[in-house]
Amino acid sequence: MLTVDGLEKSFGEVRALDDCSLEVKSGQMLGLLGPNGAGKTTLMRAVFGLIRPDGGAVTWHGSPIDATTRRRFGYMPEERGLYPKLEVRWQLVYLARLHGMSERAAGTAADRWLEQFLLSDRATSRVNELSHGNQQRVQLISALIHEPELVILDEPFAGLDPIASEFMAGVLAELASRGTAILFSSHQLDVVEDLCREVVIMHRGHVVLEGAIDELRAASDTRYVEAIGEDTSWVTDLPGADIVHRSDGRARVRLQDATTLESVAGALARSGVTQFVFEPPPLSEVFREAAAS
Amino acid sequence: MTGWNLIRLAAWREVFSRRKAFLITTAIAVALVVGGLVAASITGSDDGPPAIAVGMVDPGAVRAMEAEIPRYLYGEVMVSVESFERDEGIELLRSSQIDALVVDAYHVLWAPSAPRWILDTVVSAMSSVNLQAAATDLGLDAAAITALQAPISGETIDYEPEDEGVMLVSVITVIVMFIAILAYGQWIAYGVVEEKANRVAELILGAITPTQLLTAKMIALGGLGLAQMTVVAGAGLTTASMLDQLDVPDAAASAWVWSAFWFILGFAFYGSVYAAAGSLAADSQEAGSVITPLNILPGLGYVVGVIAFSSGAEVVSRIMSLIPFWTPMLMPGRIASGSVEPWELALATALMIAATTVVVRIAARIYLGGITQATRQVNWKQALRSGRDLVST
Repeated sequence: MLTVDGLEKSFGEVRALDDCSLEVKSGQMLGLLGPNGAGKTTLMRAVFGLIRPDGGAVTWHGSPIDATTRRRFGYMPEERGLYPKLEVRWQLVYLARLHGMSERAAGTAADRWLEQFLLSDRATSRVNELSHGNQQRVQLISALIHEPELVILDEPFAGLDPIASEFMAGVLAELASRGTAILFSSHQLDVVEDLCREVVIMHRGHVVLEGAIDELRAASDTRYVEAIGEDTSWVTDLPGADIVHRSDGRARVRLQDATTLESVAGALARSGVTQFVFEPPPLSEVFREAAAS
Repeated sequence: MTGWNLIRLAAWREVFSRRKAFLITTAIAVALVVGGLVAASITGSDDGPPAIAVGMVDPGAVRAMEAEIPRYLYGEVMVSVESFERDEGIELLRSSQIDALVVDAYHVLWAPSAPRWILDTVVSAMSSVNLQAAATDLGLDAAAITALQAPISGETIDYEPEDEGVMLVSVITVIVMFIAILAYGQWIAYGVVEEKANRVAELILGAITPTQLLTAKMIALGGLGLAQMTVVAGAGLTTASMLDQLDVPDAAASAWVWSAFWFILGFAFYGSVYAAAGSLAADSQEAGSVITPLNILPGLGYVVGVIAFSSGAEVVSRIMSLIPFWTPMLMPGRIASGSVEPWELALATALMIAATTVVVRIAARIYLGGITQATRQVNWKQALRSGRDLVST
């Protein structure tokens, strides 16, 4: 389990991390959300010893993280990093060996991953000869090839097309199911919602919300009601309803102040509505609310 | 995996990714050295012994001049005396095929290129012939007259022909050390820039510490530099000794051993400085503005060293060879010329090791601070501060 406890880091006037705490358990896939400048990357770099925190601690299974521990981690930095002129397979074997694998095991693992990522025919290409998407795949392999116990990925889905995103999400889900702890940041909230049960939302270096996505959504005071029926006059019967959408036979409103299903149901029934949806806000709205608060 | 295994692995990557550039530059250097030596030996052997060619308008005087000229010459000189028509002789003078044309007993014409010693020799021989002719006319014994004017004998005193060779070896060592330090220093610097600019540093610093990575670079590129020096020097010495015309001073071999010693210290010094400089740049575009100013230091040693050695300005080379910036470039040459006192060698070594220890420590901090500032250009003070922070964790 990765434990980040009260991490502090300032760059001059800017407080990049402000009493930041979170946990990633083995087998858990935790999404790290937050607007630009929230401190996500700084947090990740602190885990890898690339910055020195001003205060707080990062531990792995309760012990401070040293160079040996770090070799059992996998990292995909936001700014992708590979040697552009080295061959793909050579580079993967090199990185795997740096992380402690034997030459033979590294070679076998490289071949297996390249095959899984449909890159076997590019094994001897230089990295700078690959397309952007394929470079991204090699980058992901380089973070995973040594079977790390903890994988940290900074914006792994940035710049990927939907098919590539889905592919990467599948790989990560499988790793988590085998017990790998995964922490990744993303701006693509739909991907996050599909992929993980739990998220942490950071703002100004501080964790402002954390928990299961369903619970975070349910905890919001906001609710949406969408109903189908010829008579849409119900929207005016609900106090404090903001109309999101209203057309012939269909309407959607946003309700605040912790409206209950019972109070809505009466108004809907009076308008003769037969089908309706009563739901908490999407993750993106929870995220915006957290960032705005 | 132990620290040394990581260092070996990273060093191997440095060597592997530069194998082509290394082989090509080594091949070019060997070709230049061997080609230069062969060319020098060919043009050198064309010279042969000096020669005198004299034309005589009076064919009857040829034999007398032929006998007389060698009496005024020292050492091995080829002499040819032939008779020509006056006009033909002048043409030959113009085209420098003969050096002098004796028109009559009291008149001689010179080729424009004829050196002074030929002029002196021909005039002396003519005077001697004239004197003998006058003596015979007066009824005197020509042989007795000849004996009276026996030319002054002379010979060349012993000198040390190595002097020039040793000077050459000194100058060459300065050049070789300068090129090696500069070239391999730049390789280190731009290698660091590449890792930082491509963000590979971010990725691998999770597995290998910056100190280990820096050590690997120094060992790999220092080793390549040393290997290249060995191959080039070996090719040069072998070629030179195979071409007997050329003198290989014994000093050359020991100069190489000392060069290797000073290269190792010099590369530890400059290599770490170049690595630190490379870590400050954010990308290869701005790398030049950080790295190039550093070349001034070894460049100064190179310029002053070559001038001092070739002009024999011993005080300058002596002082500079004790200053750590320039010791690696000047000391091997001074050792080759045999002008180094044991205490100077001890002092220079001690100063160099002390300076290198300090410089490597500071440079490693700057490197650590610089390489972890992904995507950003930093100045050395910021890097030093950030590096100090990281070291203390």
